[in-house]
Amino acid sequence: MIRGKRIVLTTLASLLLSFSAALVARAQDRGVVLAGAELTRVVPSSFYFQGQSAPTQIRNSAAARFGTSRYVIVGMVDTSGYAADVRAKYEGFFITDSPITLNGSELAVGAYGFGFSNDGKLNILNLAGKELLSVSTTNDKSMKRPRPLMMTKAGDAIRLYSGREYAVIAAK
Amino acid sequence: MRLLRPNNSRTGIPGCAGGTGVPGWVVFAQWIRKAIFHLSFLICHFSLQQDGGGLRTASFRKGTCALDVHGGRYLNAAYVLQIGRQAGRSVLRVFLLLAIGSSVGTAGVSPASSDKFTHLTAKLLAVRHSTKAGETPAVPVICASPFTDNDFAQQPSPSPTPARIGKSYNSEAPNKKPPPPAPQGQSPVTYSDITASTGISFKRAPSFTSIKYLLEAMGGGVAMFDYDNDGLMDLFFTNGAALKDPMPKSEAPDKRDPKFWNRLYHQKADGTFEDVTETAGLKGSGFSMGVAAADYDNDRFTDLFVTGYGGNYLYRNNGDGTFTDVTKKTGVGGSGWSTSAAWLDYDRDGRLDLFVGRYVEWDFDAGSVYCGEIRPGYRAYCHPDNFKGATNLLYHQRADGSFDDVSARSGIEEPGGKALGVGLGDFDNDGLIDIFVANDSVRQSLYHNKGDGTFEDIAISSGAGYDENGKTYAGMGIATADYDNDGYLDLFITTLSNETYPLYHNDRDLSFTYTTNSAGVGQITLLYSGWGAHFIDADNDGLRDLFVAQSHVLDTIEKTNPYLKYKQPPLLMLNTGKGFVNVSTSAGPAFSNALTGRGAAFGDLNNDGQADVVIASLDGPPVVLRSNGLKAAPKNHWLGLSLIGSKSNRSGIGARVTVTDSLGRKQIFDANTSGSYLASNDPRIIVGLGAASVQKVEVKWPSGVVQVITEAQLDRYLVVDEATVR
Repeated sequence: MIRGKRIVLTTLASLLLSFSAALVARAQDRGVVLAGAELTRVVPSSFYFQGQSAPTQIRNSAAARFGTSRYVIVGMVDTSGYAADVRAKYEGFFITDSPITLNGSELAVGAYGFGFSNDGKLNILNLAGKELLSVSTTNDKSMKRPRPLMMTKAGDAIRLYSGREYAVIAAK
Repeated sequence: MRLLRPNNSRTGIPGCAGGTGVPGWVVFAQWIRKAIFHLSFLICHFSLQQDGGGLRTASFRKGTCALDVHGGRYLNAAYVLQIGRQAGRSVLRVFLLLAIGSSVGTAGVSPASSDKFTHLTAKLLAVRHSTKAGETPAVPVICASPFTDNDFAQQPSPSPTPARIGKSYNSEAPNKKPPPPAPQGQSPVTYSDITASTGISFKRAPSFTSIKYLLEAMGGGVAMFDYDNDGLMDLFFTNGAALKDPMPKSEAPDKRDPKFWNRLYHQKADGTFEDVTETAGLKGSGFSMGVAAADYDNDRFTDLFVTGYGGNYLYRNNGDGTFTDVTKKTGVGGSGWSTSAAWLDYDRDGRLDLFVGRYVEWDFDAGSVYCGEIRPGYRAYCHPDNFKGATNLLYHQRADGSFDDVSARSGIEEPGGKALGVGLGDFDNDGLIDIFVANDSVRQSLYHNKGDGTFEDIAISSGAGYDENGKTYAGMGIATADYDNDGYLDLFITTLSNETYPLYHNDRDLSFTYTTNSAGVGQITLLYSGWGAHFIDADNDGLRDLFVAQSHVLDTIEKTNPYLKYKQPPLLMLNTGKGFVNVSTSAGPAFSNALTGRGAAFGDLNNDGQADVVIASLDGPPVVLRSNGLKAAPKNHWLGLSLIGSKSNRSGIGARVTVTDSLGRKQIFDANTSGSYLASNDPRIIVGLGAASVQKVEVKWPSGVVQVITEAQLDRYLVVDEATVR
C-alpha cells in the first residue's frame, strides 16, 4: 500500500518536474521586445558590411530577447557611403547570438546584413554581401502606425516589420 | 585596347558628302569600318524597339554600345558591343548581360551587377538616346553620324571616376507608366500674374556651379509683412551669394555684388513696389535661405529674422524704415545650415521665442561629393542621406530682449532630423503651441509642448512621422489648418515626385491618420514636387483649400525620367468638403507657367479679403499672383482679423481664433506667420464665410485672456486688440 503511494507520488513528482521543465524551456524561448536603455545597450553604433563600416540608426533599430540571455538585434544602417548596387539590397544589420528561425527557416548564430525587397522578401546576407536566406514577408494591412523598422510580440515569437511587411522570428 | 579611328569627314559613302581624292581601297575600308560601327549602333536602337519596357536607354561611345538595364518583371538583356584593335587585329567583342528581375541602373559608381558591364557603362558619354515606352527611338541617318574622330581616338576617359561618390535623389523612370493624373475640376476663382506691373525687378541668383552644391538648389525665401505699418503688405526676398567653382571650404559665400543682395520691397499706395533695400539696411550677409517676420520686441514694428548657410541674422525694425542688425547682441546667430524659422511664445510669457530648423551638417568640402550618373550633364544634386542631420535650435527670449539657447534642455535638439519646413499649431487644443518640422527623407518631427518649457517628439506615436506604409519621405514645405472644420488642426506636407504630398487628419487624441489618398491628394500630386504650401480659402467658402509652389529639385530629372518635369506650375487644390480636386488649369494662365518654385508667402496684398500668393523662384524673378476672387457673382463674404497683443506678444502669435458664423459653423485659426517653406506669411487671418455672416469671434490669447466679439462687420478687416478686453 505504502509502496503504491510512493509510486504514485514519484510519478506525480516526475510529471510536475517534467511540466515545470517544459514551462521553463518555453519561457526561455519566449520573445520580449526591448525598449529604452535595454535597447540602446545592445545596438552597435556602427556595423561592418561588404568592405566598410557605417553608422547605425538607433531610431530605426529594434531588438528582442528570447528567454534571459538570447538576443536578436536588427537595425538600419546609414548606407549613403555604399555603391548603388549594395544599397539596393542592404538596409541594415541583423545579429543573433543564438540559433533562430525566420518564418521557419533556420538562421545560425552570427552577424548579417539584411534587406526587405519590393517583391515581398526579407533577404539575409553574409558580411560579403552574399544572400544566405530569403523568406517571403507578410503584409499587415491592419498595422496602425507602421515604421521603417520595428518589432512586435506575436505569441512567443517576434514580428520584424519594415513598414507593413513582416517576417516572424522565433527561438530555435 | 586601341580603338579604331574612322575618318568621318571623308567617308566616300554613296550619297554622302566627302570622299574625294582618297584611294578607292581606303574609302572602301573606311566604309566597312564605319558600317560596323553604325551596325552596332543600330543594333542598340533595334533592341530598344523590341523591348517591352525593361531596356530603357542606349549609349554609344568609343566603339562601345551599351544598353542600360533596368529592373522589372521582365527578362532584361544588355548588349555591349566593343569594336577595337588588339594585337594588330580588329576585334569585335559582344558581351551579353542577362538580368532577371534585377534592378540595375547607371547611377552611382558601380551600378551594374556585372563588372564588365559596369566598367563599360562608366565610360559612356556624350550620345544618349532615351525612349519612352511605346515610342520608336530616333535612328540616326548614317550620313548624319553623331561621331567624330575624337570619339574613336585613344584617349583617357573624359569622365574619370570621381574620388567621392554620393547618392542622388532617385531619378530613374519607373518600370510602369505612372497612372493618369486625377481629372481637373473647375476653379471657382482665378489668379492673375501681376509681377510685371508690380515694379519688382528682383531676380534671385543661386550661383550655380559645376560641382552642384546642394545649397544652390534649396533657396529662396520670401516674407509678406507690413514693416512700416501703413496697412499694405511689403515683400522681402532672400538671395544667394557668389560661390566659386569649386568653392574652397575655408571661404564664405560672398554677397557683396548687388545681384546677390536680399531685397526689401515697399508697397506703395497704388499697389506697385519700390526697392528700399539699401535704405533699410537689409542687403544681408552670406547665403540666405529663409525668413521669419514678427515683432519680437513688442515695439509695434515687425522685425526680420533671416536664416542661411553659415549663420543667421536678426534685424530689428527701428520704426523709421531702417533695420539694425542685432544678431550678436541678441545671440541668435547660430551656425551651420538653417532653413525655415518660426516665431512663437512657447512658454506664454508675452515675449516671442524663436525656433530655427537646421538641415544637414554640410560644408563645401563634404558637399563636393559627386552624385548622379558619371557622365557630363548628368551630375545631380546630392541626396540628404549623404550628410548627417543637423540639430534644430530653440531660443528663449529673456526680459532684456536677448535670447537664451534652450535647444538641449527643451528637448528639441535632436540630431536625426533634416529640417526644411516648420509649422506651428496647437494640435491637441491644450492652449500650448506645438511645432511640426518637415524633415527631408527621414522621420518627421512633431514637438508636443508639455507646458513646462520642454517638448517631446511624438511623431512616431502620433502617426505623422512616416507615410501610411511606414516609409520616410522628403518633407519640404508644411501647412497647418483645420481643413475639415472639426475643431482640430490638420497637417499637409510637400514632398518629392513619386512620394505624393502627405495629408494627415487630426484624430483629436494627438494622433493623425494619413488621408492623402482618401482625400484625393495622392493621385493629384504623384508626379509633382512641392515646396512652399499653405491652406488658403481661395474662394472664401469656409473650407481651406491648398496652394503649392512646385519644381523638382534635380535640374537633370528630365534626362533620366520621361514622366517628370524640372520646372512645374503651381498647384491649386480645391477643398470640396469631401476631398480635394485639382482646379489649377482653370484658375488662370499663371497655373500653366512652369517655375522653379521654392518658398511661397501667402496673404492679402491689396486688402480685398482674397488670399494672394508670392512665389520665390530658385533662379529667377518671383511670381506675384493676385486673387481675382470668385468668377461669378455674388462674391462670398469674408472677415479679416488683425490681432494686437498687449499682455500677450504684440503679434498675437499663438492666439486661437474661433469664428462661428450665422449658420452655426465653426472655424478655428491659430495666429502665426510660419509654415510654407523658407517663408513668412501675412500675420492677419482671413475667414471665408460663404453666404453667411458672423455670429461670434472668440480669441483665446496666449496670456489666457479670452475675448469675444459678437458684432463684426463683413468683408473688412477687424482689429482685435487684447488691451481692450475689460
